[in-house]
Amino acid sequence: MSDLASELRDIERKLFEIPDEKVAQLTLLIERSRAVVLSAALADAALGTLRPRLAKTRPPRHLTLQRIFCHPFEDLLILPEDGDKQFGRISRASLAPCWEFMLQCLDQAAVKELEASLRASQAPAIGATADPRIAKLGATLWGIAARRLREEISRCDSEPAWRAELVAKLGGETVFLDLVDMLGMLEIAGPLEQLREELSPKPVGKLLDEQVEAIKEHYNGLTASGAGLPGYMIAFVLARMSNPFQLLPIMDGLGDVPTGIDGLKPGKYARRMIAGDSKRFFKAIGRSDATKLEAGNIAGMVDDFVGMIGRLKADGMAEGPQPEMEAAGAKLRDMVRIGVLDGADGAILTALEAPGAIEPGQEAAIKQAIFDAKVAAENRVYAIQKVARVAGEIGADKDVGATLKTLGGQIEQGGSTLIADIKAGRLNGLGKEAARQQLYGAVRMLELVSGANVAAKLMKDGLAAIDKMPG
Amino acid sequence: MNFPKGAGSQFQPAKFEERGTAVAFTTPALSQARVRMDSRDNLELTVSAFSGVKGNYVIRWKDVPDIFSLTMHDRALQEAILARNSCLPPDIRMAMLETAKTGLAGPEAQLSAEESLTEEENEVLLTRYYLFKSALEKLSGGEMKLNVSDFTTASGRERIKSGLAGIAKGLGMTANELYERLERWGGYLAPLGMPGMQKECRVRRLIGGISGLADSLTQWADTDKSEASYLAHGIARVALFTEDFARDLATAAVRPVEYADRVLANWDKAVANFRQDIERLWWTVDGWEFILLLWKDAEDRDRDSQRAAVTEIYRVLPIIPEKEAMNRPNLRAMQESTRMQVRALEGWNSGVLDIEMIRRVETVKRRRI
Repeated sequence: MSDLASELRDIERKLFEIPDEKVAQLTLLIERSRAVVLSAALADAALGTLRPRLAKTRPPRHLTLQRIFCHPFEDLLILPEDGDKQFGRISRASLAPCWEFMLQCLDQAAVKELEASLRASQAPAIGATADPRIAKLGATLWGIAARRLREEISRCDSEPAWRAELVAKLGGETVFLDLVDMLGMLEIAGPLEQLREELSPKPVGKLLDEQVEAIKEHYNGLTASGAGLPGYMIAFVLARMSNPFQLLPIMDGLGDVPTGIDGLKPGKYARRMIAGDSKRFFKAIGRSDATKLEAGNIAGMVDDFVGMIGRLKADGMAEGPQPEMEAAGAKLRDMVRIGVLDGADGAILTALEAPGAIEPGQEAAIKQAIFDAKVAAENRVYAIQKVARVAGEIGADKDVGATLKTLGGQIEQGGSTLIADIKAGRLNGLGKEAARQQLYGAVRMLELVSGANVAAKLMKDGLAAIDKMPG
Repeated sequence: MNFPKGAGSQFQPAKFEERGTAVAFTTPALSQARVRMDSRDNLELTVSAFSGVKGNYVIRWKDVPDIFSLTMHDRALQEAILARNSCLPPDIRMAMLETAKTGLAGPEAQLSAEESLTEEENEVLLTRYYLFKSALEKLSGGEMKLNVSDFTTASGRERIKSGLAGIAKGLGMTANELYERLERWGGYLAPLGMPGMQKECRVRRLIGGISGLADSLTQWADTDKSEASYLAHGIARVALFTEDFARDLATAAVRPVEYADRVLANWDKAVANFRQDIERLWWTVDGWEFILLLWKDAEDRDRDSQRAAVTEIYRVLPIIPEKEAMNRPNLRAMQESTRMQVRALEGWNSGVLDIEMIRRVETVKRRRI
């Protein structure tokens, strides 16, 4: 275990030096060893280490029937915040029980045949953007799976006892509802593959005109064909986008065309899914521990939260009581205080202090520590400034403003002391260059905290004092 | 989208000196603005027209801090360049590294500048060693043994000089003169290095990087559906043209090593020639380091960020001026690929310096190729 851990650390260090072929071999080995030689957690840790490189090299992945089965709805998968069913999303925890059930439903001879085809098929070359085996084998598997699941779910609709038995077999109501969503996605898997091509790579940022047209055309085509429930296409599109709000006018523009769910028009379907996603985000904030997060991450969460509630409010989706949203706002306010503001002055002012006497042999370690302290101080100031832009939205504006004012005053005070020391000759022993380095450090930090104009005065006065130093 | 052929071409720089040298300002509005000499040998800044239309504003260098709200780093950089009163790329680069070394663009940019300066010193040292070795092999049949460390001490240098006496006499000069010529020559060649060196020097790394950028952008453009894909193809074409142009200049700059005896004997004429070759090479690759680092940073980001990076690269793309590459094939095609209008900067002119935007520019400054 420890050997593997050290191997992983070594790989992490040299991640971008390993040849593509080796990355491909390693990826396949880990994926094939999953649950056979390695535990799933260990295999995931190993893949997690490789992940930055996988995105670049795109080695062929170890393909299984389960992966092909999941492909149509893989965009909808989430790590659940709780056991509740989320509209338009499928919990990763439901994958194993649903696949197990699916295997039992399928004709075993057909499964064996598909497995044999899979073994015989050629993996794509390194760097390929997609694995053509998925669409080829999926066309058969998705059709069979959808038909069998439809039979089971239809029986559940008409026979409550059968439904209760299936819910028990799967392990809960949420898993059952996730299975229904899997079925919905499998039924429209074919048209989704064409749309996937239009909406690649993921995440899709600002929608292009051609993409907007493709979404409309595919939706109308799906509605006209009568195959499956077209609303699932909305879930698919939303899950591939980095800013789902841009889909709202497009879905509203479709008017009253059906989604497959009574009383839910396309616009409302999209809103319901966005509302679910935002609630999950608010719950995730509630779970966060400020003491275990970097200040920059907290600032990022604040920024995302404010962006999210701004969009929800603009679209009228945040009217009435919003307990999760309010709780998340309050939690963020606390997190900002604990993780961003508290102790910021100490961390920042310590980084500005001149290094003391250095023991022989400790030069490199001390230099590294000074560098790390400076980087950490800068990151803290950036986090404060990032929060400052939107602090009013979470009611933290007074705290943040007061911190910035205090910090600015303290750095200015430190700068004035430095200039006084220079003028009094207390830095003569260190020399002009060392004095300049101290001055630049204070100027830089003052600029980040209070702006360039305040920092410019310190720079001017400081350089004038240094000019008069002897030597 | 395309401008009529020839539109605005009368304002396009015809020579490198007119194009100027890119300056790594951290103030977003001035990022990669260019510095050049005016007709009276005073420095001036050329910066993209603020409204996004084609064309540049030209501002006296000394007036830049009065017109723009600059970061502290940029105030120091503006002064450092003003003090040098030169717009040659190596001089601007040295001013940029010295300024970044102050820490005014943050500790990471400071560390990166310190490492770059050390690396360049090592490249100079190694190139000199290989040049001396190569020249001496040709001139003395390799009888004289050299060590890299000889170049770092006064006694070592004296040992080399005494060993050069016989060869110098044969070339009609003193050992000191011969040493000084080889030393200067090595200094000029250092950005390229010498054949046989294990280490690739900075300009060669840049040329390799430009080639890699062309491949990467072409692949990216083939998978992108937005208008940025056209820009990316255009940038890739310019990159390939520049790489080809730079490789030829690099080959020409190193070739005189093969006939070192003639170069050293006709020093004044020869030095003027290869100095010119090296200077043109500096101008050719100027501005590309920022582009390479910007794309490297964007490669791991989402598609929107990559499109924004492509647009930004297109805005600052260093096109080789027409008179510098008049006899090159494909010059016209390369120029055509850049005749598209592009709106690159957004929200930069709010008056207040945006700390997030500054940080984005500084992120590039922290890295090295």
